[in-house]
Amino acid sequence: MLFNTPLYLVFLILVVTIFYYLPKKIDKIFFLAVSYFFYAYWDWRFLFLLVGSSLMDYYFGLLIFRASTKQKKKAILFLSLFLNLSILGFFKYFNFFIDTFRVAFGTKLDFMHLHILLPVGISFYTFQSLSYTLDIYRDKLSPTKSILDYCLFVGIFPHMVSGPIVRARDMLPQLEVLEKPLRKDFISGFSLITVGMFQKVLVGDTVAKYVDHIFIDPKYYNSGELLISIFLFTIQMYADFAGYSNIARGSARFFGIDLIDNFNQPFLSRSLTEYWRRWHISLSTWFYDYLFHPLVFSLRNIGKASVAVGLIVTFFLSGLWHGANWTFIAWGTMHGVVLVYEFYTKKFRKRVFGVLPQWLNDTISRIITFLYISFSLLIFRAPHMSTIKIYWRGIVGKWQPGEYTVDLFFVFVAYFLALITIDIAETVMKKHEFLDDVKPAVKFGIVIPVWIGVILYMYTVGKPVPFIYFQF
Amino acid sequence: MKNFLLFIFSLLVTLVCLDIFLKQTRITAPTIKYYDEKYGSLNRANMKYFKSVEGLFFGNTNYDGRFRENYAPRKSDKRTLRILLLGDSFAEGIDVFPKNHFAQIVEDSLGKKLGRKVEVINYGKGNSTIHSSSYFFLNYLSKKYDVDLVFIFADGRDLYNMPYKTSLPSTCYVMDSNNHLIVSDYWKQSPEYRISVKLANTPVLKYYEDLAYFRLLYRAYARVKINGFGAQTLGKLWAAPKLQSEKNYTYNIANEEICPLTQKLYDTMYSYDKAQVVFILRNKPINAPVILEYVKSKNYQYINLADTFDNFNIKGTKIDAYYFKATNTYGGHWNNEGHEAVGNYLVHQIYKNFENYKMPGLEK
Repeated sequence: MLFNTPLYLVFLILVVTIFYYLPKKIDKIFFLAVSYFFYAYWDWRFLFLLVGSSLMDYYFGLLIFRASTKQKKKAILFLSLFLNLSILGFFKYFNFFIDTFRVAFGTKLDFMHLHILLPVGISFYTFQSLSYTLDIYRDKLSPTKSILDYCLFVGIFPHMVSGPIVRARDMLPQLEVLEKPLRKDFISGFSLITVGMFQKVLVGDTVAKYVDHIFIDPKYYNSGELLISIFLFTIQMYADFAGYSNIARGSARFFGIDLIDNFNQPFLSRSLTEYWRRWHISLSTWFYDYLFHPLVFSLRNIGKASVAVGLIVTFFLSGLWHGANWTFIAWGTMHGVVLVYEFYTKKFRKRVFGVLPQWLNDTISRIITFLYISFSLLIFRAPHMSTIKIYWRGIVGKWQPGEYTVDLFFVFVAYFLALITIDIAETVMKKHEFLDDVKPAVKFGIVIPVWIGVILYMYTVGKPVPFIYFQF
Repeated sequence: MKNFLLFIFSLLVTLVCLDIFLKQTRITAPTIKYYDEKYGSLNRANMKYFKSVEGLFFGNTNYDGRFRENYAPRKSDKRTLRILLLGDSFAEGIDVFPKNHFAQIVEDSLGKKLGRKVEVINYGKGNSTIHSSSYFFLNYLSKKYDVDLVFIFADGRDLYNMPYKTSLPSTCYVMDSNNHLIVSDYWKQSPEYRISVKLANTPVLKYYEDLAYFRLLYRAYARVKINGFGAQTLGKLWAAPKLQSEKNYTYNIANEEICPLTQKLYDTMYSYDKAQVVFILRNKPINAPVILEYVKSKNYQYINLADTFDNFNIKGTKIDAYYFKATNTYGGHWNNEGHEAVGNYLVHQIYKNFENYKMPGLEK
């Protein structure tokens, strides 16, 4: 079930109403049941995988906690990691590794190619589960005694398929004392869903028609159109994912649950380092806590170089996490390399650019960061390396503005202004639920037309656009 | 009172901003289709237009609501060859760059070959069949534009002569005793028809057509009326599965016998004496052997585009290379390469058959 459909709105209203009036002792069971229905609506067969994975990690958590020695704990942790990553590897990376091996060694392994569907959200719930066992192993968390709470932590519908990647230490305490939502939860949840729906339905889904058509056949378009399509994809990525995250967070509020922020006005970043503090925050912090930090700590003998190694390795794996394709790995590694550059030149850049007025420095930095993010996203979006080549030749080879460049440019401006207005409002009000602090008369004046637009658009489309991160 | 005014003010400001946003991003189509009993569905005239079904198309409609420039009513030079194009979305060629449309290739290449100016007047319109605009437009346009040659796209959908299913491009016409096609009662009851007629006859609604929100409302309303509110809201939880017979209907019809109405339309159109009529038979979406047999048996002039696609296939080029990738092959339209292939083939065939066409004063 997709968030950007009328069906989801009906589902959410119905489920929240029932949840609110249900006796407390069965509301958790109800919440889990409807979450599993939500997941099974996409493909019921993978529900077994989700339930199996949840049960497995629940018991691994207990075993690690109860193990008498550090060595035993470590052995159980490794077994848990091995099984979780094997499941993820099988569904997500098996064909990729076979193809890579086949190309590298010229062997015929086509018979090993499997026709398997990627279970929705597998990367997300696997990482959530891993954080649980890792935290228990590091004595940062005690395992929950309730299997129901654990299954809810992994599988509640607002965050199950595309995050935010929540941590057990944040979620389990909320689930243990799951209360009925308060008035303020409804208000802030509604604000988040309103912003999220605007971002996802009216921006993300509609900009997709331009991006998809140009990326599927880039050879038809000239330099100007290709260039703008890259920027349009940056818009789509942000609107799609931030919209999803806002809807997820807003929906969770209706159950009295607070999910972590996943985006914090990333287009206002002045460097790539800042960008990764503002973009997909739940994934960045996951990699920081469980990979980058331990890695740098273990390599501390080599000094500053440990950070460089840590960044490259982390972003290489972050790219791989996004998808089983060399384009994702190249995208991740590129980010790692630039982060290393920023790390080593921080003082130098401050000295050189410090002579400029702050506002100018900020503006230039923001533009450069936006351009870099956009061009790196070309690699992220391209289905094959050959698409990148066509883009490169089209943009750099021979500059031709093209017939639709001006039209597309104004389309880009309209989308950009729509998104940046929300970002600025969030910055000024210092919160994502910025609508909460607006006078009710003004708030309804804004919210009503937005919802009318969103609902009408939902009813005009035959097939809703799935979230980009569903494929991960 | 103050709060109420504040509410109204913020509502209006948001509506205006969103309306500009919806228009500028082309989220809403710039027009709603009008339905005219005589000419079928029409677009609004002289406006900016955008489509993105399989590719991208930014352009304008002319004074007849077609995605082309305005055509001069008369030839500027007697030697000019004027071709009128009547057909569906393949002839319309939306989503390809205008410079790559086969009509442009015909104008350029054929013009060079013949050493005379060639003008193609394109009245292709999505979902048209001979029952609808092709039949109606033949007399009207060929006189209006002083044409020498008329290309009529024909395919299996011309065989539809029953109100089987409203989503099929059946125009549901019947012929009266004076050989005039009239809209059938069945079609008159369909939601598309009723909405369009209602809109066309309600001036106040036309006035609001300029509002993006209104167009969004119209599209949502039309979709709900066609699919049903339950199916549009609850998706697969509500929608009944398609019957097997309905799925296969499109493909089976191509092998059925050519019906009397279609025969009569072909015959009437071919007997038009002010210009040479040539039937263009396509390979997709529905290749109907019965139509080919019929035009052959009647000795009508025709160009079979299936030949050119088959030839390309024999050479080792996949047929699918000529269709947009964004849609599946069967439902898709010709892409830019497809138009090039069609354009070149048409040029070749017209040049070859030029002497056989009855076009007084236009000898090779």
